[in-house]
Amino acid sequence: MRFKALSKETIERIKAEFPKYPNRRSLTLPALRIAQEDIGYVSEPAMIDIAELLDLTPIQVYEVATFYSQYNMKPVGKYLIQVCKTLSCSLVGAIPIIEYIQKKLEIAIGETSEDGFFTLKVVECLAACGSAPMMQINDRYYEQLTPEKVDQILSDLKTNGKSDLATGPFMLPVLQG
Amino acid sequence: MPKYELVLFKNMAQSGYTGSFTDYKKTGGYTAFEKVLKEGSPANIIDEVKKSGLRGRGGAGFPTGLKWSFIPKDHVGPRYLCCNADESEPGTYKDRQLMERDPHQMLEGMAICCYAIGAATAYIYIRGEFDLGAEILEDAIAEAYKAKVIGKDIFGSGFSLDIFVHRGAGAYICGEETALLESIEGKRGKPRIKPPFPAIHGLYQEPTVINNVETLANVPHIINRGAEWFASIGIGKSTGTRIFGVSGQVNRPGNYEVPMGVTVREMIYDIAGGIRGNKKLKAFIPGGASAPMMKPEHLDTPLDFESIKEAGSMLGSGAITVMDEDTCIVWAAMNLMEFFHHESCGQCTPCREGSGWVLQILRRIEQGHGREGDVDQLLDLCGRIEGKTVCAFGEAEIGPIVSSIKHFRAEFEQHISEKGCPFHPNAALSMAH
Amino acid sequence: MSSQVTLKINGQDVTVEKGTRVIEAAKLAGAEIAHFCYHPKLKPDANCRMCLVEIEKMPKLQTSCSTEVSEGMVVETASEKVVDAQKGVMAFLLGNHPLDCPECDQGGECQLQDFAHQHGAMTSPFGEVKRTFEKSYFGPLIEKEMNRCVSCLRCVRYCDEVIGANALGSMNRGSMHEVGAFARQELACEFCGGCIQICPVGALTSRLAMFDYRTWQLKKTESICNYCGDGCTLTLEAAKEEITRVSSEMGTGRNSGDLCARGFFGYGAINHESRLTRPLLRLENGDLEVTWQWAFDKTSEDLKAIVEKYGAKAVGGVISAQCTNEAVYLFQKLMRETIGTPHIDSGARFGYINAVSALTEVFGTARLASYEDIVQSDCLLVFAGEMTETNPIAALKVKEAIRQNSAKLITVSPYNARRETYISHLPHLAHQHLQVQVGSESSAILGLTKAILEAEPASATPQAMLAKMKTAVSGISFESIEAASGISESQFQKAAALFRSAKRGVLIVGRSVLRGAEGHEAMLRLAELAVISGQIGRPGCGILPLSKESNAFGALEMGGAPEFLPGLQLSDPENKGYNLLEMVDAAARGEIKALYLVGENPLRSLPQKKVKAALENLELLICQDLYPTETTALAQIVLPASSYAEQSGRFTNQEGEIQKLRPAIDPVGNSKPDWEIFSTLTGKLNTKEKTPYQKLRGHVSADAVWKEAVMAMPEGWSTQKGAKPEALSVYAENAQIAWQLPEKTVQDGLFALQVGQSLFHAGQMSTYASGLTTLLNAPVILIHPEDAERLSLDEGEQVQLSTEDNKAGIQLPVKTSKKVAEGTLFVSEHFALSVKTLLPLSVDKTTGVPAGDSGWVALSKISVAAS
Repeated sequence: MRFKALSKETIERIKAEFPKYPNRRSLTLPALRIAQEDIGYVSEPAMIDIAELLDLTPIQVYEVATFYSQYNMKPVGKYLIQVCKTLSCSLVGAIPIIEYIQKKLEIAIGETSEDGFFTLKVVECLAACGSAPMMQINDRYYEQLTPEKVDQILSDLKTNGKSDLATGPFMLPVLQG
Repeated sequence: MPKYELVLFKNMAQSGYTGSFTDYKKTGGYTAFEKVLKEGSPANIIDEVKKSGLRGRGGAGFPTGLKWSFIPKDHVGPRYLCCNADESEPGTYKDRQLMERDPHQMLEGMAICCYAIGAATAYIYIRGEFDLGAEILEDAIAEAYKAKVIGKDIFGSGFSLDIFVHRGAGAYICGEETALLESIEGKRGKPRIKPPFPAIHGLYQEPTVINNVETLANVPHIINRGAEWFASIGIGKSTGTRIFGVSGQVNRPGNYEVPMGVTVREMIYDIAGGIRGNKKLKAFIPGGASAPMMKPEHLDTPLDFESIKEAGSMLGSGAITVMDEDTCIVWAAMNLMEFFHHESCGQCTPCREGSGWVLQILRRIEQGHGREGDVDQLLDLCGRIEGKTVCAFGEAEIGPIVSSIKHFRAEFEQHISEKGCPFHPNAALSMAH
Repeated sequence: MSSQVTLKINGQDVTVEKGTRVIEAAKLAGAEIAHFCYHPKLKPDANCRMCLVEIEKMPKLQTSCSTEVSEGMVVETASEKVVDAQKGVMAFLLGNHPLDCPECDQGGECQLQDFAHQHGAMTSPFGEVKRTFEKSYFGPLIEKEMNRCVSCLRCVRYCDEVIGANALGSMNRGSMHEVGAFARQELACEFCGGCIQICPVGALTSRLAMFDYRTWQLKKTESICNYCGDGCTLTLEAAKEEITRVSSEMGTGRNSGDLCARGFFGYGAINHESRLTRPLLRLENGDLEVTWQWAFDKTSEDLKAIVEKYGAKAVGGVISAQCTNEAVYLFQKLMRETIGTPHIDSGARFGYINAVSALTEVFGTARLASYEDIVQSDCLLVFAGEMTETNPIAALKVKEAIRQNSAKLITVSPYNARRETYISHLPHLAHQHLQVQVGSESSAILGLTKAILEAEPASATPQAMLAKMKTAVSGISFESIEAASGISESQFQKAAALFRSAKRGVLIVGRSVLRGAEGHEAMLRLAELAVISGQIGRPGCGILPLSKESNAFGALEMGGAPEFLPGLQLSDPENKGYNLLEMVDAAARGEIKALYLVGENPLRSLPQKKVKAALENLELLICQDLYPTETTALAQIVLPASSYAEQSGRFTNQEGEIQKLRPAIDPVGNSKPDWEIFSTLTGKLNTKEKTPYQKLRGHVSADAVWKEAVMAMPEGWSTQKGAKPEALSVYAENAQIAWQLPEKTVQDGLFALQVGQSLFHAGQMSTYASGLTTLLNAPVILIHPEDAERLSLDEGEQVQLSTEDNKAGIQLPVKTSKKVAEGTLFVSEHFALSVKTLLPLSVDKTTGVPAGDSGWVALSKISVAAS
């Protein structure tokens, strides 16, 4: 079969997951994730391709794509900023951080900066409550945020594509024997 | 507070400990698994875990050994273990630390469990946002295969095991064990109707055990040091240590492993350094967002399953969220309701319709448009949700609402009569999810 | 262990089958529990939470739809706690529900209205802004009003669990949950209408009848669908003598309340403006609409004149297999007895006669399997890859067997095992799919037969038959069978073993065999295959031949064929009449001078040039039809017939079930039921003695005709179900069993073209139904995407199909489909009859069935002229 949206490499990456599961349908989540990594969001043609690959109907893929909050149904900026607003974060200043980012990037929640670099989303708990306020940008966490740290992170990402302020293997408090 | 020994955090507390296979092995890692494969029968392992009194660390606190024993012994066909690493209960961030800092501890626990229940395949359902955690686990699994502690014919015992990481994609409800199974099967995370229970018809309709990360991480220690040792830690039916994640307005938020039974006061004031800015404590949540709120008068309650339950809340996932005197309780309830409304799967009527309705009223009150009778209506709506939903999410979402009204009803009334929130700094943020 | 369970419901003891759900047990105890998501056809989902009940020893209320009864259970369905819970759920459902009942088409049959009336509070505590969704459409036929939806997912579950189309789903989550189609696009599904029928509220409604009625204004009449031989019970719903809606009550009829697109959306043909409404005489100076009196006089006088001038055998008659048993019986009686000609045939000649004639020859009956046998079967061998298209509800039974009994399905068909996106397809569901070359089904029969003979044929096989069969296959190798069919020896062995070892195996045979070349012989060979497989003569086994027409079985049983008198009694071989093709030839020769065609349009069904010449050669052509056709244009007399919806009578479906039609509306215009026309003509033409009453009135009703017909039948004609052993012994002794060495059929460089049926149409009648023409109203060539890619064809591009020698060419657009195999093309027959002129026509040597559905064609791009 020919695929409309997904690259050959993406198809191969999805196929590499086949042996993990006893049926194809179980690949829906991994396939959507891999497709999103490839094209930045889950487009309609991508979902049709996934359905074809997994012997499902497109609605069966779409059902899943619209259920989970991590799938972008529309294109997003190069860096997707997701700031947590649930209780523990909000208690210690998530909202000022969100307002700061909005002002700094001149975008509202849900929008993408004019240069296409940053999309801002506000999300529910990301399990970093002790190190609040926090945000996730693409595949890394940034924690114990202050406006200064936000400046540094965004500037690092824009210039270097990564930031040393990203959290490594998590430990809080830092325990020592 | 008496001195106590770290169990789950012991390795990572060593300086220079990386969590690699080599490091884990040096601490005696995988000897428990080797021991059970060579000497222990599955029945003995289940017995040992039962005797230890280990209870689920995910939220419900169900006895782990008992759960394992429900797997039919005579079942023909595959059985599964699913490790629930969908850590999503607001306030909770302990599994993340266990997985990222000492992944093999959990993997060894999984391997022992699989042997005990006769599963040849295990999935780790890790929440989608834990990219780093998933990478660390994938690496650890690769190391384990390489070291032949998982894979085919482990330690020459004839027992084979595959462990796979299945990543979620953003849905709190997938922490509910049957929703988690649906999600692995490639579907929407809708909790199933029970019965049948997963032990009989679980993943792919086969017998399945679902255990939390922390629960499984305890297993190698129980095997190595014995059920009696484990049962000697803690208090009453709450045995072992527990990792409590403290967050909110405290001076030293963090994950603290302590024997069960320390009091909330000890946890907040001694261990977590007290309230920020020397403010007064107004309320705390003892077990994650779905646990009912408690007041300062409950500070001397011991942190164990029974005592917290007796005091009107639940130990849940062991997440303690602390709110100081400046916190608006209506706002806090609204904040959590936003979370639950966002995370409701929408499957059953009371939760789908009720969560939106309750949130609308809370927003109205917080924004100064509350009406007389709103508080009673909130309680009425919560009553229509409670006990009538497919899964426990219904009880979870009303927990903060009912408890905050119970303890702070006057504050709700004040919002309504004064047509506004008396705590201005906590202005509500309009969320665009 | 007892299979009965006794429990107490509201203080009353109830004994029910084990496995019964509490909601069902309560119903038996007279306590109807309010519900939305529960539906007996679907697995419990327990999502609406309306059906909560109190069960002793259970701390929480339980959903009665998902809870199975147990011995000693004590249930309260109306306690204070239960009523309070129901009120709560109802308040949640009504909170966001719009107050648009006055303009909602569900009004009057809405479960939300009904249960709110019983369980709702008088006032709503909901004071918030209601959640609103924009109205949208699942394509041209279905409206979705999400604001009315109660999210019970019955539509999604029906589409998944019953139909298997997987066209609908949930989207978004929480309170923004919606049901819908992929990416909010229009649906391209089977359009079975099931989602509309099963929706408890007005969320999904038909756009065909938007705002046309209030449900209580509809006059409802239960009748039988006439679009295929499945024999589905449907409820024709009429407003002001016009069919406005069709439904089928859950659980009723052979279809158990399920319908297909043709049944649900195809009713527009009945009141179509093109219907013939008055008798018409074609005179030298023009057409003249006349009274029935005049038409009857003219018809009988003209027929009499022909008989007097040329003899009775100069008259022939052909009747559609969509006419009732009563009509066929009277028509053959008119021909045989009143006029005295043996030349009588019916539409069953187009293939179904191959089944009935072969099966009665071998087994003494053609009533060999029922839908219940299919559903309870553990292995189904299906020579009908296109079954969803031709016989959608019978195909549903196959799916039910797979779903409920894990029945193993073996399909034999040229189709791919891939499906069109939202249309179920049996080869896709098959445990084993034997994908044969187009037109090589008989090679597959041979392969399976050889495999069973070489393994272990059933011990009950008559020895004489076994010996003949063994001899017949002995000289043929699996290699040669593989060369012809494309199926290997091991595939045959695997499938044969599966079918042979089935406890309840059912063989299903469709048009690819029955309308294929030498279909009669193929059917005999299949009958023998069933015998050696042991799938004959035991309960639950058997053979089901699929019929395209609603009454093909009945038409033959009523004597609508020259070889059969009523009751399938063989006619006198000395005075055997002509079949359809023979009549056409005789007309061309000038031997037949008058032809009476009832609902038959040979210019369409036999698109050969000689047919037109033959009809033009007649002195008298009488056409009795619903609509003007190519053939009625040539007729001297055109009589307007009533449709199935306007008359009483009976259809016999492909299982042999005789089912009653009931008139839902008065005859359209001045049309009359066929039986009434024949009855009057018989009276006028009958020169024998008769009572004055008969002469005046003919039969008083269809029932009176039926009484007469039944009297003419031999004993046991409709009650014999399953093979007669004595018939099989006789067959075994007399049969001549021979196999030809199969030939390789593939022709390099050409495409195998298959003409067949679309799910959305049946013959010509459906093309008058606006609901169906919305779905398909123009011919397309289905081509595999790889072939289209290879030939650089765009979707919808016009191509030229021609015969190998390029004598004739036809231009049609292409559409890609995963269902058709590479190297094959499929064209549905309803709009592109001309394509049949490209295909060779073969005539069955025994039954004279014309076979012309497949052949080899060249496909070429149409070069765009330089502008």
